[in-house]
Amino acid sequence: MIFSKIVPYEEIIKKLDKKEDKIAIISCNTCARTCGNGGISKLNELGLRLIRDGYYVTDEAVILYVCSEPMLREAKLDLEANTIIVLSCSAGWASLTRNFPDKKVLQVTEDIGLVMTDTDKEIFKVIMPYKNHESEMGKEYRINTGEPLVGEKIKVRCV
Amino acid sequence: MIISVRSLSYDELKRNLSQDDKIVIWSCDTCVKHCGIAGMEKMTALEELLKEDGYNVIRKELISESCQINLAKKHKTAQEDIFREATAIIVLTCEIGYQCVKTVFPYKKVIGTAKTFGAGNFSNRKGPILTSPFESTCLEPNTEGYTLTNLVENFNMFPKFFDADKEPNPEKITITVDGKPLEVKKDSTLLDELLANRIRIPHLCYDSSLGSIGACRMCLVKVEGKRGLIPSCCTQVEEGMNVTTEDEEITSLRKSVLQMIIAECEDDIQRSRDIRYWMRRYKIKENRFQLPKKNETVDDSSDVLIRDPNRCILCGRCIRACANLSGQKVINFANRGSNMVTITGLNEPFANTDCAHCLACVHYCPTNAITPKSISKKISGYPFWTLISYPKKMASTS
Ligand code: SF4
Ligand code: SF4
Ligand code: FES
Repeated sequence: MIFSKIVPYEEIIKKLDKKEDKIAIISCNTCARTCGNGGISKLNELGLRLIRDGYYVTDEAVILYVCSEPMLREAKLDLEANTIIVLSCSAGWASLTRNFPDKKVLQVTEDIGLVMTDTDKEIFKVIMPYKNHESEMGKEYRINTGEPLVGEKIKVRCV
Repeated sequence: MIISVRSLSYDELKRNLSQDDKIVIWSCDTCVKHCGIAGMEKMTALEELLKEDGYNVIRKELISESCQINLAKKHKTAQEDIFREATAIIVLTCEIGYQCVKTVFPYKKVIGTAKTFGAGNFSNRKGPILTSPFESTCLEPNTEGYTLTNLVENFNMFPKFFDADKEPNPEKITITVDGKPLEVKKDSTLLDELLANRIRIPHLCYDSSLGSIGACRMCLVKVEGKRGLIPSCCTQVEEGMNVTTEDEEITSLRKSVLQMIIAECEDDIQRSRDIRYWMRRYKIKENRFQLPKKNETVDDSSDVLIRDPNRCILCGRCIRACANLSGQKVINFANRGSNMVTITGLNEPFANTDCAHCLACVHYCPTNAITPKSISKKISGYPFWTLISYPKKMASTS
């Protein structure tokens, strides 16, 4: 599973044009949901906030794996939008960038690293961090919200 | 998905093992399977190679997601005796899965077989591609992606699975199928061998990753010397066996089973590719039985899955996938006879169960009775009035 963090809302709207952009929000329902940056709830939250702030949101989609082209094809997205905000890891963003070459596809998350999860304890733990996130190694977060946790709940023997 | 490539040659793997080892082969059923180096089929190939070379493989353990450490622990508990006996575990997983297995079995010899390069996509044209590499690879992020062949060449890894290094040569026996001799693997399941030899047999409740329960009765065949029709998914091959896979009686029985399924279930059950194929093949156009259609509530309480019992044919694949592959036992049968149904938890909504969202049930359901929740909707109009109906619409759209 890959852990990505969403950039602050202010950073997202800096990339948007209120007049020109018709916006689609596409949210991944696997890793990004688990890490608190995708799924239905994050999509609702961001969509509502953009609409409230006067942006023109035309389409919304939740897809199980945004990084899988067969799944994207199955979703048969017919977007009215010219701009896509992707709530997924960078691999999901890459997939949409390739599949919608005529649209502006915005990356609004940053990859932190690969994680192991404990769905019973509702925790995930960073095991293989990406560049510039080495300090995240071993850190634990709450599943679904991405809230950082203190203390070590998953003891790993061989990192 | 996570992109991993095999990092060990078959000879290197053997150097890590001793002939006295009691070996468990452990495989993940998700990303690494799509990278072509894991899954039940690969475990079987590796088991054959090792057995030929005199090693003692005591179990193949398939897990839906090895990176969920709680699932790995449950597999350990469920097979306590086997794992107590095991001295070596060969893991066909990404490096995160390896860390989980190593943590769960700290005192066992755990042998990793893959190098993980980062995250990527499954591309329709190129298969698995790496788009977000780790810094250690010295590769730049690339939306077009690096193929597995690129990685194998640049990093001196191994293309394909261990059976590319040395082809397995399992012991064979000869059986007769529909009057023709056929060489098959000794000690294997008849249905597996028929399918491997491209003899199409309908099978709704069987999958080689899940094992057999003989519930759907679609795979029935005749075997000379055995009484009546027998399910090929529950039958082992035997030297000299004489099998008939299709005749009037078999066809008529299969047609009846299919017609019962169609009669009871939602019409859109025909969306299942397999069922559609067999309906065409047996020229079934309409529903012969007048049975009341199921009228159960669709459960869309989960954030990830939707369960439509009206499409369920009670094959039990999801139940076995959940119990054996994830270890969670969220889905089960309830009631008996014609009242039998599948339920989640203690007959409660999916959202209230301890589902680990590993999606094994989704992958193995043959009729799409359990599907991933996906939403695709247009928000027509402008911000202010959209705002009024927005949250309600979202909640009910699935
Ligand atoms: S119900 Fe399905 S998704 Fe949930 S744990 Fe069981 S197999 Fe996995
Ligand atoms: S939900 Fe699907 S897999 Fe489970 S018993 Fe019904 S048809 Fe079979
Ligand atoms: S596949 Fe053999 S009985 Fe169902």
